[in-house]
Amino acid sequence: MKVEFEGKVREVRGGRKLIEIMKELGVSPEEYICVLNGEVVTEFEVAREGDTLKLVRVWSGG
Amino acid sequence: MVECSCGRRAAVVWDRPLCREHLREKLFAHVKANLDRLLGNERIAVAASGGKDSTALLEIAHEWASGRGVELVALLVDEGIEGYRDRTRKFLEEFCARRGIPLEVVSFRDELGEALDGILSRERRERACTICGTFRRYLLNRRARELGAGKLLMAHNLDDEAQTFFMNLFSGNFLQLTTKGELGGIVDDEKFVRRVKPLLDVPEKVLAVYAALFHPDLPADECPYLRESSRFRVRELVNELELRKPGSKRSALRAYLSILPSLKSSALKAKGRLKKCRECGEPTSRGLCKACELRHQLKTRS
Repeated sequence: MKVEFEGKVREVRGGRKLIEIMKELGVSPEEYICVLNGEVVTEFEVAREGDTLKLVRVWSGG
Repeated sequence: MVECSCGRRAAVVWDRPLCREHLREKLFAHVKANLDRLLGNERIAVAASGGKDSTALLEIAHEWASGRGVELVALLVDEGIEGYRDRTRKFLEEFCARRGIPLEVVSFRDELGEALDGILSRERRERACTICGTFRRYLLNRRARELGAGKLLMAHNLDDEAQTFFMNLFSGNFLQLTTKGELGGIVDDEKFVRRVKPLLDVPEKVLAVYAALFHPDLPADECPYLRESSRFRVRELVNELELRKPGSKRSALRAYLSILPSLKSSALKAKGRLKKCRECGEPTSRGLCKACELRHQLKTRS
């Protein structure tokens, strides 16, 4: 499955929770929102092979 | 599938899994309950930046105020950060115009004679947050008072407050915390508009998911100076701590709020009541306020 974040696309193994994929990529669930196949979901959702995950940074600054 | 109690797919976990609709319902109910507790019927100013946190606060406070006949004005400080503030300012102007919210803009260029980008061309970039924060607080207070606001609403969230707690702890500057909390300041003063933080216990990620779902056109830019600030490094540390020990941010806030009354009482004894700055007349705990002190250092217009 494909993961898009910080302007890059990575191919990773599906069939597991998004939080595990984020750990593998070194991406903190505190700092990123998961958008799975175009839908905002929690990091506890399970991705399947063929899914597309986009990780959107939680931006801040007043 | 991670489900909300209604059976729909959850978008975020905030104590429990919440779908889009129930996230909005909970956020509005939670913040309105905080507003009920913290505010009366006086006119309010909302410090708005066009970012995700203050946009949510402005939206909820506007709905709350409209239902109670409370007057509300949005207040933006335009520091003059090219490629950042111009985009969030445009978003905020359109957001307010669509909802009929009056918007006041105060700019560094008009008030200090120079934009933040110009000031920082002569200064270390690590000082950006100190310089910007000092002048922003100064201008927000003064303009809110001129507008007749009884309270100034700030959009600090749980993450901001947890970071502030640790920053002051690490720098050994615990008395600095006395001006914080959900009702800022220690005493009432005619020149000081007390700051209220209705998002104080709302996690930043909840606000980010809300923005992604309900305001997808909101500019997702970060302040270009943010990554050089000490707050940014503390933010990473606090997020790491939260991952290793979930609930750490809330624990930090709880600890800080529990000691705040005694800290405020100690600070009042040590510093006394607010004075007037000998140069600008604005409220300060010292003879010269921090904004005037910085103006001298930076040689901006007084």
